[in-house]
Amino acid sequence: MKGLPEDLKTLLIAPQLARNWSAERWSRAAYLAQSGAVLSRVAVDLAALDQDPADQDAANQDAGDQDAGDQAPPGVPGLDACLLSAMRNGARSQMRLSWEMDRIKRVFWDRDLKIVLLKGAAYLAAGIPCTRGRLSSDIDIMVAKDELAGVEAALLDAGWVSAKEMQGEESGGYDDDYYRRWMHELPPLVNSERKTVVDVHHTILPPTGRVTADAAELLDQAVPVESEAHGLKGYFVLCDTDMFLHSVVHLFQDGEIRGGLRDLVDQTDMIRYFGARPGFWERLITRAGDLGLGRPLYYSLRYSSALLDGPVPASALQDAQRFAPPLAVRMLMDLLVPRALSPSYLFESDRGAGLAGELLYIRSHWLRMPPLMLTRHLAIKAWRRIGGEKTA
Amino acid sequence: MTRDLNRGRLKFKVGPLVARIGTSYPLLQRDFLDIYRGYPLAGPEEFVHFNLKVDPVSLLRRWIRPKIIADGGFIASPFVPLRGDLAILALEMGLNWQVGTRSDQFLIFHSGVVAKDPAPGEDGPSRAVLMAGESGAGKSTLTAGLAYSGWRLFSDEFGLLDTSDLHLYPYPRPISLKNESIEVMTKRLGEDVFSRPFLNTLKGTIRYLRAPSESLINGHKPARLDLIIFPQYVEGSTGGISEFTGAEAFAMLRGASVNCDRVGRSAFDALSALTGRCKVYGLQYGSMDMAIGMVEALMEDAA
Repeated sequence: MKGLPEDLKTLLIAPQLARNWSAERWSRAAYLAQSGAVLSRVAVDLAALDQDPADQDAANQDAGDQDAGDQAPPGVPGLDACLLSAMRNGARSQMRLSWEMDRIKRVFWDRDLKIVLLKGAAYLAAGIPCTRGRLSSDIDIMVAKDELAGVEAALLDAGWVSAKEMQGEESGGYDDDYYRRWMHELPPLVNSERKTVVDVHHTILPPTGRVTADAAELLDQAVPVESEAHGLKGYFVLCDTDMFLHSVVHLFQDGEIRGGLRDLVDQTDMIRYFGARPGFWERLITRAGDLGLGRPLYYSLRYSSALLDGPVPASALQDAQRFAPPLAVRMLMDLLVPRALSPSYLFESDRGAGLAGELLYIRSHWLRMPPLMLTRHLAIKAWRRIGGEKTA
Repeated sequence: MTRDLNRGRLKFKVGPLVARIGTSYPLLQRDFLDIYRGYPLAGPEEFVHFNLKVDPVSLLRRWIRPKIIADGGFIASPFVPLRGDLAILALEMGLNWQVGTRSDQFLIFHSGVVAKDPAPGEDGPSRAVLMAGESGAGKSTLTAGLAYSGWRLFSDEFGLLDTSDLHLYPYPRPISLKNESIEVMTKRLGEDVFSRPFLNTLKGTIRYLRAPSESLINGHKPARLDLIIFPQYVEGSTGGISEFTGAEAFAMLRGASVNCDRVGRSAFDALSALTGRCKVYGLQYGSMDMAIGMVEALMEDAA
């Protein structure tokens, strides 16, 4: 299987080895990390290394430098500035996320409502290491389906507006209607002051898809946030297996995989973090089977361990085999997935990656809705694209 | 150089930043090499901050009704295609966008900046004046006027502030002048320092004024920020100055900053320190010479 670009992988799993890189090598690698939305994380890791002399000694030895002790920090002019910028961006994203959750909490303070944090906010609340330098754009929360209308009304009342309306589409238009009928979330809501977007989910997969998940079951197993940090107490998060599976379905079932490197990095961190809990792997495999999410789990474990050295126990990989696709499909995915996940350098053309991305994009739609509906949906999108071109 | 552009290997320096550019479009290559003549190139030992390719949107659109688009490798690209003859605008906007959104090592102000260097043989810091304000208030024109009257050009677009020492870093790009400003400045400076005109852009006619060569030679030297003004051209004005202090000055500076929220705490601290240390003026002027005189006098005063 083709791997990630070597230097990008190094930055992600052993950044201490990058200390002696040349400016040219750094320029390319930093670009790839930026494209993969992981530069802030890399910057945080490098800064942590600088502060921890024990790690530095280890780094020197790893780098084959016998002369530990008086090694120089990265000596590439201009690089530190780039890393500082990335680090500030990551810190800001995290602060914005906790602030936004604080504001949303205020809207519902007097209601007895189970709000489950998803993705970035959940990782923050659960203290998963992947929150370091993690850039979040949208805020994702989940509530029971019968709470949906009330939650939407309350947010609209408190200063959020429909994103589509903001762009000029009247409610009841095709997109709005599509979301409400066929999606697992409300049409995105934007805070009119801060321009932040919140996606309110009622389950984790579109009900039209080949695979759906039992939302009631997920909500039932959700656990309250215990940590006081980031002001997220009062919210819920999915339980460990479900939190992991949600990231997995987002990348391998519902999403288009292209540009999803950051999600696989999240999953690898969760593998490391949750994987240390006793019985996690058995529970994970069982839960995936029960919820019908075995196939995407198989992909996640396979590509995390192959591309990012995710520490998946051999026994878990073995157990997940029962979710494996037919051999031909697996071979095709092995060909496409690493290419679609790998950012490519602007000045090195990579046609394979483009094609792989397109094919997986089509796959994501195929998994999302029945063929007839897909045809109609893509036709409307295409028609609109042509129309848009004319008016531009 | 054309070959380097073709292969996407041209790396040049703008102040502390290095950009790598590629384009295969001959007209853009000519315009680029024309307005960026004299810029220092970056060697292999320098880190590249920004990468940008600017090419026709498709093979067809290379030849028939050409359309050009900038590509910085983003998944959701913020760039739109432009007419072939305006390709240089796509490049300029592409570069500005990247600098404005990804240089959070600086607190960035949407502003023009020029600085006075110490006279030859004398010691002392270079001292900068930052000119902020609404688009169309005359920032670019005044920056251009000062840059060709003994001040060193830092930028007509972005003031890059190092929050740790309140020094500004140069970002000497070609100055984009629009419509009436073009006539004012060609009269002052002659045709030779200008690009060809770019007609019927979204903002009307644009001509680029090349950065003076001294500002390129000294493009790496920062300057202490000593003076902040909000200039406004008012036809027939005989000149007017008003001072802003305290919270008002803070709020105006906050409004002029592009990335205050991304930089976070250090940005807030820097803004507080600046409003304590620098004079902040609103400045109304009726002619270029009047404005230059006023800025000179305010800078004397700020010493």
